[in-house]
Amino acid sequence: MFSEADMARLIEVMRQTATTHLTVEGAGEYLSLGLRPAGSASARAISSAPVKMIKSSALGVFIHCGGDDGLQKVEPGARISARQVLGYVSLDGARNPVRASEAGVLKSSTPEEGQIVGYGDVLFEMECDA
Amino acid sequence: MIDVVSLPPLATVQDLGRVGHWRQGLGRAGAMDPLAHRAANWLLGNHENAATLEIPLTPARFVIAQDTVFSMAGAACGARLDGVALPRCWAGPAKAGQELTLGVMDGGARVYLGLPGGIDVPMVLGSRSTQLREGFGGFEGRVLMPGDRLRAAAPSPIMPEISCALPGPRPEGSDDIVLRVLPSSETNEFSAQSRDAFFSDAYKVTPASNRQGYRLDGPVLERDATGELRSHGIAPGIVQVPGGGQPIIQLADSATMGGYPKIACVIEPDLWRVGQARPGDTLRFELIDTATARAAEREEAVTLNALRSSLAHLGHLQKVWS
Repeated sequence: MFSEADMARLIEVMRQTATTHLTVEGAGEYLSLGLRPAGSASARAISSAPVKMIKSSALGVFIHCGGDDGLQKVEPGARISARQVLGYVSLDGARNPVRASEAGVLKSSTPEEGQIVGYGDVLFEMECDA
Repeated sequence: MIDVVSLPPLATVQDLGRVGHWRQGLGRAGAMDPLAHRAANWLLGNHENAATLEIPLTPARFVIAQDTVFSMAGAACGARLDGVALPRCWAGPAKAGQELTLGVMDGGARVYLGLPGGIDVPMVLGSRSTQLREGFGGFEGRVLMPGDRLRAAAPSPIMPEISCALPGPRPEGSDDIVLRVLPSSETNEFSAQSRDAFFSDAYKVTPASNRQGYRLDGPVLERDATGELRSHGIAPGIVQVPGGGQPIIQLADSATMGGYPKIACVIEPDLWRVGQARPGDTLRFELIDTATARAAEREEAVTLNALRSSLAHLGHLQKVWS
């Protein structure tokens, strides 16, 4: 969890270096900060909720949930419950389910349906509940 | 171990059936959807003939009585483990005290619940299937009831969750379930108009349908030949036409003898599709020849082998990764 002091320091550095966007990753969380373009002195946190990246545990073909599995399709912006299945990494028809480790909101789904993904590839980003 | 908390009637323990007793008047029994039954077993690394629980009606509620892995395969049924939705074909671990609930079935009629090594029930006449009419086999020869406890035949392995795809009973983009059929001994005794209707029109599954057979509703089938037939052997897949002219498909719990004329026989590789048909669903019959039927059998064997191999391969990889 990033403290207010941490964020204030990061925003100050962004102002000094005219950085408009900064993403910081650490300990399974990530923080995304945006600064208005040149001339603006104010910066705002796009989101201060901890962002978690859900990575592939295997090499295989990515499949979204909600196709033939009887589950509901999950779109970015959807509310996610802890342990919810979000998709699969498939090997010749056998599937490794990919689950959310905690509750929150799905921010993005990176791979396309049928795309080959490798071990450790980011499959989903979600904002976790505080 | 899994305890049954609530379960509508008609859930029975089944394997792939009790073969070899036809001449004694004992039918085959066995899973109505052998494909989903096999998948429920292969997801756990079981032999395909291990006993599973065939569940044709929901809602249902179970409590995990002891830490175990279990599997589910077949129709989507809104399965949830402690409130977390499960894919329709899935196996994985569960902790003692967790609750498994099944909701509304969608896109099919039966779901199969598997346990490590199969459900532990006695082998009777070479099978663990429930012979409902005769009242033996399976779980005390009867349907499961609240208060019953399902025990696994083997210790629970340590395994992560795994899932797989299974086809639905309908061809892509079709509202009807299409069943390939071979002509039967009395096919040509039906009028040309009746044969045309049977092989081209849709027949609806009526509520008068169960594991013994499905009664259908559609164009009336009339036989040109007159007179009663002598009773003859029948088997799952045979489509009989009684006096009213509406066909009946004999299924897993079919009798071994019957006297109605037979218009066709659904090939074995398509019987699972009937097992996933619900009252109100529509069926169409596609006439094929024996060479096509043999090709379908070979194709099914290849598909089943691919599914079994891919689940075994991924299961092996998961062990290596952990």
